Amino acid sequence: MNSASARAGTRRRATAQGSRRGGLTWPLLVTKPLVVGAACLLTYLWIDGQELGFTERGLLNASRLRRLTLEHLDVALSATLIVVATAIPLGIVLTRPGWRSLIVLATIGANIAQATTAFGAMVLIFLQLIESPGSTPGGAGRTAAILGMAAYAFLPVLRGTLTGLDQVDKQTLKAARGMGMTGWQVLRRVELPLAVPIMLAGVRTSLVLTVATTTIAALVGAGGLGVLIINGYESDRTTIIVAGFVATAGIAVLADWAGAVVERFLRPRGL
Amino acid sequence: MRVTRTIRNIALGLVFGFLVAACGEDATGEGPLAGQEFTIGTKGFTEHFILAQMTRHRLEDAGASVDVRDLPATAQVRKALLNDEIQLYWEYTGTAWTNFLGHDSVDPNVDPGELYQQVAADDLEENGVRWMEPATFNNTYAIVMGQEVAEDLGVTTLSELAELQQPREADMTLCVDTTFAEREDGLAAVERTYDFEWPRELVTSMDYAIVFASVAEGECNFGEVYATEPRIEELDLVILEDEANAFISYLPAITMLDETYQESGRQIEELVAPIVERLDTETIIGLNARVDLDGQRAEDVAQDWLEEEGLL
Amino acid sequence: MIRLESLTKRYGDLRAVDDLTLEVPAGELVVLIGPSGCGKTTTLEMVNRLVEPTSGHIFLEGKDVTRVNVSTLRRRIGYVIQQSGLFPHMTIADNVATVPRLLRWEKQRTVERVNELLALVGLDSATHATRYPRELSGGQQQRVGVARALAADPPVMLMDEPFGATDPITREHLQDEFIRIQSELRKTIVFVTHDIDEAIKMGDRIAILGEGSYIAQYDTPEHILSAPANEFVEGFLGEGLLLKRLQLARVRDIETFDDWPKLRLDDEPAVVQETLRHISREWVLVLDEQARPRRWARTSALREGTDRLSNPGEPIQTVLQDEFSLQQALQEMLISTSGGAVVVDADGRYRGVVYIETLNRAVRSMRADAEDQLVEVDRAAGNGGARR
Repeated sequence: MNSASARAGTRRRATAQGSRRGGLTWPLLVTKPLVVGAACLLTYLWIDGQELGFTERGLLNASRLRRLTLEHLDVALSATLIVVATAIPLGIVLTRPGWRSLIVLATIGANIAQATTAFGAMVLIFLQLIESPGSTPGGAGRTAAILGMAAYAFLPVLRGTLTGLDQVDKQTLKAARGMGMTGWQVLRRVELPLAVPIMLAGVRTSLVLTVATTTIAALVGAGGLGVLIINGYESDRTTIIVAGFVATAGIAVLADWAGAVVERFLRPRGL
Repeated sequence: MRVTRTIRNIALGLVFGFLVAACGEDATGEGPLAGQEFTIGTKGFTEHFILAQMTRHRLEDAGASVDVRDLPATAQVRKALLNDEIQLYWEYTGTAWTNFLGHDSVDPNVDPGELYQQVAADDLEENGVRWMEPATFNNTYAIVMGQEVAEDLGVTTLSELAELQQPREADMTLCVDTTFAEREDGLAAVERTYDFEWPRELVTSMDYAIVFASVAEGECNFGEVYATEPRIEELDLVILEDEANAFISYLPAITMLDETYQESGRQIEELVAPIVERLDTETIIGLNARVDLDGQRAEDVAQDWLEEEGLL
Repeated sequence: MIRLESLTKRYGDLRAVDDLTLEVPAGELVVLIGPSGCGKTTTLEMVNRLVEPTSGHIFLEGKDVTRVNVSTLRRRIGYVIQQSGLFPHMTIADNVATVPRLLRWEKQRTVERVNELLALVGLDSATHATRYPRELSGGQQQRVGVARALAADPPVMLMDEPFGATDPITREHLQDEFIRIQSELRKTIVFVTHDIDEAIKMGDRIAILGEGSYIAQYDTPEHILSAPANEFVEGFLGEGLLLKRLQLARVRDIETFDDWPKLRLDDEPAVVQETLRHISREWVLVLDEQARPRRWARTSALREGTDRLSNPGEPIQTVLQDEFSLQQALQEMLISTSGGAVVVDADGRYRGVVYIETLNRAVRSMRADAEDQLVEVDRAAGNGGARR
């Protein structure tokens, strides 16, 4: 090979690596967690300096806050898990030949699920759960909240999967098939790896959406940080509202950050 | 089941975004309040809507121009009153006692009438808010259970329930609205008065709208509701008697700033007096039922009742 | 050998390929060329059944593969497409190893094969194997594409405009290299292009296709250029037919003349004087002691002594060798001072001179030959054989 194009190759390579590293420099990696930490600390200091009433004392203590946070994460992460486990396979099936005609239908369904208020969906699911014969009492709220959130957050992941798979270069796919890969091999070795960045972006959007919206889980008995916001509002205590807001927003930002980090590592090299 | 159906319809309404906006009609006429303008605040639940609409009709009938403004909850309504953004609204004595006057509890020996006297005096003195005569119904909290649970556990009062904690703790599942477990005059008052602790892992907080369905369908054995709820009877639920008065009494009365009262309070008091006299527990439950169970609009229910009673 | 028999592909009412019969002899590279939309790519893709034929049969080395398992079939057919179609998320080595891995070759065998192939296409595996496609130039990517297609040593290759997306200079380069590779490997190749120059350069045979993959002419490039079967083919070949013909013929194919006056640096002065006296041409060719052409010198100047044999003068820029095309010969003549182009042997020694008249004669005879052969082919095949 002539040396000029070899040099050009090296140069391209250098920039490619540079930009990859650029996305993972440590200041960027720690900025968001630091900002969230600072916000939590400031909120803590501010609340610590106030005289707290009965409701505030009950809600704004370490063990209660931890429990609410865990409940919140439980619902949000379970919902995201369900979405990932259902929307991605659905997106894959819909992009297979013969199924494409159903894409519009599925997208409309997912759009409706997102456009409905998540609260309405949760209540309907909750009522269905407690009314269904043979259901064991207790826990209907958590299930309803998880399913409601999953329905709500389904669209971004479905759309990300569809877009991710659709944008894979048709020439590349033709080459893969032309070389004798089976449909399954094309999917696993070529389509999915190349769709991963956009699919992950969808998952990340959905995760952030879910974390932020899971506040309404408190309305169907699933607890979570929404308990703070609702009680703060009804008892007109700014401290509780601010604490609830900071905690929710903080987790959402951290979820987004975690998504970004995961994205960096799962993104195939060479893209 | 009728109750569940109603909630389901509401939920469906939420889901598909059917929003019915209620709008007040502008009516000016002749009468003792001719030319005067009032805004009445509401807290966003059925009973409060009905009370506000009745008041609006009576005031409009007297020539005033009246607006009804829906606000989310107590805190916002009270703030609006103190800022004179609304001129009057119905408040409950227990709410004022704990929320505005800084008390954590009430002496169980103080009866509802006495509490009213104290609230009215203190609120006027401390905050310049005037309380009119209260209606006689007491919309306090109540702990309810289904018939089957009542028979199974054999409890009829809260003190018996407190005793139940040892043998049947796992059965003490309780569904409450989102604030009941957090406020001092709520679950904490029951625990303080009857000297026991309700295991928190058995308490589920949720939107008030689905507490009834949860108790009716057995998601919880016990539920926290308001005493004037028509759904208690509808669902054949049993109220656990609060024989030690753990719950503060909640008598409704119109509140307004003293300045407003000086101008037109007496006329309003006279206009509303017939309503106040007639609104006993049975009556208000019936009216609540028309809205919550029969699906009528609070505005229509208020007008119909006033006409039935010859007050319009 | 590939044989397509009555191959038809219909999309609704549209016949993309209509009853095509074509044979690709083993070890030959057959170019499919035609206007866009003529069905040449569809035809190609029916061979590895990326497009399933509506009717007709495909034979590969005598076996009917129209219905066999499609993945197994494709693994036996090398496939190169435009813009390389490399997998961007895989290293060069992984790309090349694709088919060996599908065939579950042993690891060591695969690694060795990858290195072998990268060397074959002129890429250093030490520096390139672990890189990703986007870190390579377009030309390098195409080389990898070729290496990948050759990985499992398939007897048959399909190439769909493999060099189409590269700049002219790179393309030229890739073509030359591939000709070299093919001369070693002798694969049976179907090659689609829309570039007639590429077709002439690469093809052992060219099939010029019209609408519905109708074969307007199927023959060697020489014959097609010399005797276009009809107006369609002529139109397709376009302007500069003569130049294209010249491109095909080699210097070795035409007569060289040793009648040009020449002087060697080591000639005796008496010989020089004698020679100069008899020269009627304006220019004389000066050779060095090893008889290698050195320069053109003006006869009159040498006679008058204003130029001396030993003066360096202006050296000859290019001399022709046997394998040079006549097009290059023509180019040389046009810029040559004397009007003739100098031909040398493999050691660079003067062999003779070619003239423009020689070229003309050569072209004329090429044409006559081709027509004679076509007549023979027609007679042999009854109503036209390959020329439908």
